[in-house]
Amino acid sequence: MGTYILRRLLQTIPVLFGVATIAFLLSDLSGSPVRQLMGQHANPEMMKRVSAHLGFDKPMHVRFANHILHLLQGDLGASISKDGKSVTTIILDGLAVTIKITMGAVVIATTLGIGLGIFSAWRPRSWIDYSSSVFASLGISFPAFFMGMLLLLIFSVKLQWFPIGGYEAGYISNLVLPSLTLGLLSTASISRLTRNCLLETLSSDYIRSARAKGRGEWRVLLGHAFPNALVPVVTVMGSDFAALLTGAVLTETVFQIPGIGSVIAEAIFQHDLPVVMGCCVVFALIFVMINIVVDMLYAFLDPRIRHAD
Amino acid sequence: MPIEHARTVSAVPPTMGASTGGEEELVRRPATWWVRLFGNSRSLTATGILFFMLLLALAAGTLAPYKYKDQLRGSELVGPCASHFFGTDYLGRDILSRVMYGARVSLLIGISATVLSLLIGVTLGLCSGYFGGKIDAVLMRFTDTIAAFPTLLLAIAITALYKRTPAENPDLLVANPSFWILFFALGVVGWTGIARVVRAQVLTIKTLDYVTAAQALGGGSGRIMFRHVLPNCVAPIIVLATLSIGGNILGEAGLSFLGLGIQEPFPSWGGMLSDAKSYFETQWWLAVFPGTAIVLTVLSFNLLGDGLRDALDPKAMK
Repeated sequence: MGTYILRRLLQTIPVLFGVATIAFLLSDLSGSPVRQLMGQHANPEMMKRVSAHLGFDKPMHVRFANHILHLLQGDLGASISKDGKSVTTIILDGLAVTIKITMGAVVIATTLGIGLGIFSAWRPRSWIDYSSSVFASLGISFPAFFMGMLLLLIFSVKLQWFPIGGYEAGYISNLVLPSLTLGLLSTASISRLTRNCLLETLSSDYIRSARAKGRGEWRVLLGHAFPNALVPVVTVMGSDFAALLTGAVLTETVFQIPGIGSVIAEAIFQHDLPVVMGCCVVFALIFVMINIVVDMLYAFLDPRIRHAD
Repeated sequence: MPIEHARTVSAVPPTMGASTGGEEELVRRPATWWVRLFGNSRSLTATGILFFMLLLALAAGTLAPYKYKDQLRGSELVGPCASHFFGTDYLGRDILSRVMYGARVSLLIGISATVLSLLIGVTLGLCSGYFGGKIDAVLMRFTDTIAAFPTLLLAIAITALYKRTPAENPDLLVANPSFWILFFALGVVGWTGIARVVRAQVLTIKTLDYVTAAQALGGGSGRIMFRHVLPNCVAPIIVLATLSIGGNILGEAGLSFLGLGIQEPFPSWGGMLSDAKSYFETQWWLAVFPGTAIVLTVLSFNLLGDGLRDALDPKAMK
């Protein structure tokens, strides 16, 4: 197992290098940010000195090497719009808030999704199954921000259960609707998958044996079938977590939450490319790590899957 | 006798009747894929909705009660009423008309970006699967790298590079540079799934005897790949492409929502939702109508994709 993890970690190096390269090329294509930094009427002499100071006068391969060296030290460069504040700090501050929302969403999506899935598998083609299938089709067709707006209209404007927006550290009520928005969307895929995997497992021989032994229906469903149906569900939850982070980027501005999504939205508005590219690299890193964790969970959930070296 | 019987079943050519023989086979011919597709009420409804949206998009110029940029002074933020079925926005523009014009952006971007993804994904997947070895390793590492990026974020990064300038001719969508940026950004990030599926298909197909026969006859790699292998991968490609149109429409809406979409004043559904951000708590119609348009269209493409998957599935051909 140890060597497997090590090998997987080594395999991510070329992928992450590729990500960093693409991010560098993209931001380099847009030209030197010095003019934007100094404003319209900067004097050429000053521009030259600032360029030299920031290293923008060097040839491309030198800039690329510097970029990679800085990345290795966890330095994503300096923001343009926020007086050279470190991009790493900006992103970490935003992520701290976003992670709270996504964690809430994961909890909602897993409990609701697996619950709905088990009920649908318990009585396939019943009204529960049918409505959860309609819900699932809708769930994958909804833009996250539109879902957020609808929930705000229903729960904050009409029913006045939750505040309309904004964020204060320590108040859960501000995080409920954003988490619910993202959670509902990934409930859709998790519930369908749980149902289909459970139904498939339920038709296997060992389930017939368990029933023949006289096990109760719920014991069979939860104790025998469910653990085996869990493997594909975990995969989808891994990729869903990644999708949740992207969804958060779109929903946060609806709820005025100062997470990574608002950071990106503001950076786009200010044309602050280092921040946008930094987010790309950080997100790619998170995605790759999640994939490794999911692979390791497989071996834990299903001892038949051995990561041979 | 069997030949004469075959003549009475007009759809079956006599040769086929003679070779299969027996009246059971003649009567129970497997339904063609489109009979199976439209026999399914979900796919039929989805196709209906999509044709309706296409009609709205094409005929927006004549059907829409107002021009998309007409600002009606004095009737800003009017709720749904007899003269404005969907209400008006903060500049006094008719929402119904803007939703109709917005269908052009969603459908055109959704479909054209998918075509670009197909071109890249199918070519790379074919080469990767057919040639194998080093080419496969390099191409798949490249695919992994692109897939490691969060799709939307990469599209954001690409569109954010482009500095926005007012379009010279806002009426013509394809003359708008922001249209091409969206097309490129979504098309260039969305091909990884297609490439992987095509590669997997090719890996099984290239071991079949008929491919070996084509190789033995001296067929060139390109010819075998495109003439002999590709036609047998078409079914999963069609399904993926249909689902990918829905995904691209969602992506376009997301980018427009962040202010990276089609240049104002041309409306897009995501852009209208973005405009609605500061008003929708009191003026619900600003968000609900364009949002519903997105959900309906994407839902229809998803249902059609699922329907196509069932209809084209060879296992269902029994």
